[in-house]
Amino acid sequence: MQHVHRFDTRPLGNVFKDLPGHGLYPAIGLRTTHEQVRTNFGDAPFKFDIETYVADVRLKAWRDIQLLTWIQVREDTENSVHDVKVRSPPSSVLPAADNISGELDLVRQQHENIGNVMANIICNYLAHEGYVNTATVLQQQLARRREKESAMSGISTPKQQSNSELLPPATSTASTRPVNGDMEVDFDLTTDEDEISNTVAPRSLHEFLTSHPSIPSMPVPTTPAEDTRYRRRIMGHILNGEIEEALKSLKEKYPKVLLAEDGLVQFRLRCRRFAEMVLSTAEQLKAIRAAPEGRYLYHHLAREETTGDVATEGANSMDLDEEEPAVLTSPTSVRFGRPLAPPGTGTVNGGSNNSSLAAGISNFSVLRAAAKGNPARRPSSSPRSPVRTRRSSHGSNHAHQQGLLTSLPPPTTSLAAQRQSEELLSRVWNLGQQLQTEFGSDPRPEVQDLLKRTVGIVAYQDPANNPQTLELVGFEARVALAEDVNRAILSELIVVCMRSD
Amino acid sequence: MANFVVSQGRSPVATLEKLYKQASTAVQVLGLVGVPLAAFADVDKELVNI
Repeated sequence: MQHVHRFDTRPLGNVFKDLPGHGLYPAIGLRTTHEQVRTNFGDAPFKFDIETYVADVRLKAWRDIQLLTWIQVREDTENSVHDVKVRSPPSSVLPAADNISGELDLVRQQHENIGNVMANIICNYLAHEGYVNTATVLQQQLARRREKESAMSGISTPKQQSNSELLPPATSTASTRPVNGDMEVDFDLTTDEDEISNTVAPRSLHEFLTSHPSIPSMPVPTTPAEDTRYRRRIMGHILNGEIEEALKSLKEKYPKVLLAEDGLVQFRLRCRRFAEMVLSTAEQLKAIRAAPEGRYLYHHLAREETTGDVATEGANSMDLDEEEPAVLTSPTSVRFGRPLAPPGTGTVNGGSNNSSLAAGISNFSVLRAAAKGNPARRPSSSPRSPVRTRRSSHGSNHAHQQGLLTSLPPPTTSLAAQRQSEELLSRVWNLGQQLQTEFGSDPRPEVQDLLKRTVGIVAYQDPANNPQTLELVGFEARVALAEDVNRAILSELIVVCMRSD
Repeated sequence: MANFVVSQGRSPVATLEKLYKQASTAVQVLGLVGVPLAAFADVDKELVNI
């Protein structure tokens, strides 16, 4: 900590030494009782111009920082590694204290050195984040500036040329085409259109790839505009929830992206497809229930409890067998670990623990059998529900829960509605089983976590409006997935490009 | 994205981001240990919120 002591604006020098950095309080000592002191803690302007003083000190500090630091950068362009070291400069390069021009030369030299490296680091950052178009424009601008500088000085600097190798260099023929709206590459971000409009179009990665047939790469769309259209279409599909179409397009145009990270991108897309199907099924089932005939029968059946039940004992050990009119009675009910809300509420009581919920419903065969009214035994390896259940004398299933699978209309609903509901749920079951079969034994914890959470959506009657599932099925999740897929496509292109360099 | 980049054998964090974080932290630590000059080198103010 620095202390400044002045008397009538005159500096007093170092008044105290070794003061602690904190715990200091102002104190004034007076000799007699009638003396008066006026203090100013910043409420009024200071007589001493402290702001100018601080600015001066700051300038000096920055001068020292710039002059007395020596930056060494080791670049490994092949692996995009920059090793930056900061240390004191060797005394041989330091100018004499009174040599202002030497000092300026040293600062300028430092700036040039840092500027070239920083330009490369910024290009690396843009490429890393997938902003290929912006990175290419920046490189072109830097190249032009270097050319101009070289022409002025008449000296070609090999170091500067090597800095522009992060992305493929521009070619004159391909880059003279003006940029139009279709040339925008960076997803969901406006590019610096003013900057681009003043320059030539960036050479696309695709042109680079097609000019290097030896590079093992994905099928390359014929033109950059086409590529942009393909990617926008894929993003559009994902944002609209049309995951099947997105998967189809990806498989056709960017198959390597689907295989990236051992198929993680594909897995995430397929989980989303399942989520979309559950959402759409929930909507359709809601519509079926809302139909006058279906609604009447649905509630009628719930009141009468004609199909038998299974009593549930909660944590308080109360037998609710006969006593809970709000509870849905349906042969299609499924028993999970936690009670779900009564029909119409669309919420899950105490369902905040995703893992327990997911564990409780991870076995689709159990779900399906139960939903069809055939109470399948829970596998012994599955976690036991904290709620003890017992079969009633009626011998049918009854649960105090209401999820998507329990939304099947009762048998007394019209045959067509029943058939339609069964068909809808059957599609969900099949897709869920497919996911379980393909990824159930995947050792990656993140895969297992997403799989369980995705499959767990079926436990909710209205997953689109439930806070427990919103994070997984909401529009934000779609946007995040679309961005990740877009980045994955761009990264795949960049990786191929960088390896070839 | 980070996992994807790692799978390609590259660092999940861009060099620029690393550089910025390291500079910010270094200046902050210097300020905490009592180096007066650190008070005048606010990396965030100098580089981001200019």
